[in-house]
Amino acid sequence: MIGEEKVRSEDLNLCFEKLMMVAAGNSGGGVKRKGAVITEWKDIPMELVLRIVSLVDDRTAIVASGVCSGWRDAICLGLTHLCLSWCRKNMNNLVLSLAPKFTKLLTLVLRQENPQLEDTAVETIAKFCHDLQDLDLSKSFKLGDHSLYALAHGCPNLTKLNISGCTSFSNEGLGYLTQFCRKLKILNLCGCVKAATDCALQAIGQNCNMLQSLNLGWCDNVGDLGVMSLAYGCPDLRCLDLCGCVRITDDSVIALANGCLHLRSLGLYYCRNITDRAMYSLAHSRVKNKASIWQSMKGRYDEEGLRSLNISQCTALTPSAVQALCDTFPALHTCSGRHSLVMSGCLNLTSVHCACAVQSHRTLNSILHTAH
Amino acid sequence: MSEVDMAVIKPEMMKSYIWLQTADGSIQQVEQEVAMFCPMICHEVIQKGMGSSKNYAISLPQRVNPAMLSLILDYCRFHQVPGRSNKERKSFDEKFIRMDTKRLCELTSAADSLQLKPLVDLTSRALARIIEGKSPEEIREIFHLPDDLTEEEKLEPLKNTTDDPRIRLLNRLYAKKRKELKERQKLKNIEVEEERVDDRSVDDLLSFINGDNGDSKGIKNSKSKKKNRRRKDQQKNTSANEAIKNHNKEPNGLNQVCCSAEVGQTVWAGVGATSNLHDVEDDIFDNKNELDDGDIDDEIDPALKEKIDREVEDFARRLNSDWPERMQEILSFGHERKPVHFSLNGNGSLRRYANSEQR
Repeated sequence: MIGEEKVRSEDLNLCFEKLMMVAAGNSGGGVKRKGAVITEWKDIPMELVLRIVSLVDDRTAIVASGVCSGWRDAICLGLTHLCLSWCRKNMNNLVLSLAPKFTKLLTLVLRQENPQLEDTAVETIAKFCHDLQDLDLSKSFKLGDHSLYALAHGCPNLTKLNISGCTSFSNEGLGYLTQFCRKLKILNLCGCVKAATDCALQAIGQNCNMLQSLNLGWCDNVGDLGVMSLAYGCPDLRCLDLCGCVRITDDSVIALANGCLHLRSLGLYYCRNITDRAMYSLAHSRVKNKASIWQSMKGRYDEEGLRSLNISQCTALTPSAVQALCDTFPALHTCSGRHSLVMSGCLNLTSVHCACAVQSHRTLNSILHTAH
Repeated sequence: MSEVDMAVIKPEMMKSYIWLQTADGSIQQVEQEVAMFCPMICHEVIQKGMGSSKNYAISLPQRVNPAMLSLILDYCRFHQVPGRSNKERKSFDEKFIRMDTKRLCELTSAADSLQLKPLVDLTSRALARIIEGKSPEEIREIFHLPDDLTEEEKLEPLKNTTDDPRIRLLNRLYAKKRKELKERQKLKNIEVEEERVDDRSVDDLLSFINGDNGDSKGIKNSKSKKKNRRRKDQQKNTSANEAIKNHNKEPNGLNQVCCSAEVGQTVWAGVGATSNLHDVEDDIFDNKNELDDGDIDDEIDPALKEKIDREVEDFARRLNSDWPERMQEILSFGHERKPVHFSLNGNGSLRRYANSEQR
């Protein structure tokens, strides 16, 4: 439907003729246009224009949308993915002029090298792009809570949101957003110190129950209360990064172990308060829930469980606990090929090995022995 | 037709044909295996039993005119043969799409209506390459499109898309390399303070070399730079003399060396560690040299010169200084550089090496 309000009468005529052409497509003849000027372009149907535009870079796609009205309409109706990260100076203005046109956007990447985006741009996006599912606003230092309020009202279908580095967002704004964007699955709050507080995490746990991946890197206001709310509110959580969240203790990890049975990736870098209790709880939860998991996921059992764990700088851990963990989760590796258990800075954990590392060590030993 | 003759003589060797009718009414027959390469025709034959005779010719979509049909059939005829290698197919494709834009558009459209996806992909990519980087005016010209947007519509996004990503990327790359070079140099300066011992001998040698040549600036040291790169890859022993000879040809660099030597900027074998960087850099700089643009070269010169200066100095010092002294340096800086062709087995082997080196 090309029912834009701002279409004037001459444009309407053109739109109508184009509609006929698109509808005619394979079967009928295209409408014969006045003069030879137009004959060639009817040879590319609109869906092919879209196909070609999908093969070019974003800047060319934007340029193509300004070639003629036919292309403009095709691209405005068909463009679903757009990235403007290559802009250095004018991203804000560009968004202001493009958002009203590209209303069918599903994915919009506005990650900036230098901060350009302002609240007005995000408000415009929220006003026009209601189908938006994936929005990347990382490093937008200038954005404030107004953007979050606008997004809450305008883009309820958001499933993936990246606001890492947006240091001006507050926890009220974030909490408000979660009340409306309940379909969020992937949320990146890395570096959002003001926004990621226990209060906001409680809101997330309450509202965003489909959450699968959350990045809370360097949010040092995060505490046990927040993570526990998260663990009980988001049972589908698979990836959680608590790197630099120095306040959390074993209670957080125990809550995660009990609440998030699908946890695959956990980052505890620099969480100095973590002790063996946390490790044992993770290991025990898997053993405890083995029966129930087995029922639901026969054959996939070995793939479940932690695949990636970062306990670098968690110096309170002892080798026995971490080895128990490594043994319980076969997907955790310390071998060089698939290194997924990261223990940098834990000098007392050098003896911890995954099963395959031990195996290769044994093989090597046997070779050496036979050599002598 | 020979096939018809053969059909008469040896019925069992007769090829089967499919009858196709284009929108203008003309009917032609096409070898079965060629025509069946198109999914749409295949569908018609199998599902509806059409195309077996002239009366039951498959009517092709309106977008397929006879000229396009023959092009498409050429494509199918080549690609339906199973025995061709990927390379063959690729080179055929590249030659195949060399046609004017109008025909390319028609071909894309026709291939799409016949659901011939590989050809649609090929032609779409060709068209995408055509419009990449062009302005709306140029695109309109190429595709004969009407200029029917209002002025505001045309101007608005354009004024904001003037950030050209490619030029900025290139500039950033150069800036990054220059910065890296400077940082490495600073790093070495901090560590190499005790090298001042050798300064005077370097000065002597270099002023001797410098005295042979005039002071002409502006000769781009592109060739000698390239030679240096090759020299580095070989044994440093043999390259030492040659590098010095090379640098005879560039008084520019040597002037720099004298100045930097006074500052105490003697770095040994910085080349080894930064050889990777240098190689990469040279790739970029070689491209620029082809452009033969003096202005661009001036930007890169200082960083490059400093690198070459270091090479010169180190070669000069190596000719001058004693072997054990140098070994000390190697051992103390060994963790930073690639250990190039030195065997550290023991004093004996070192001695042998030293003897062969000192000429």
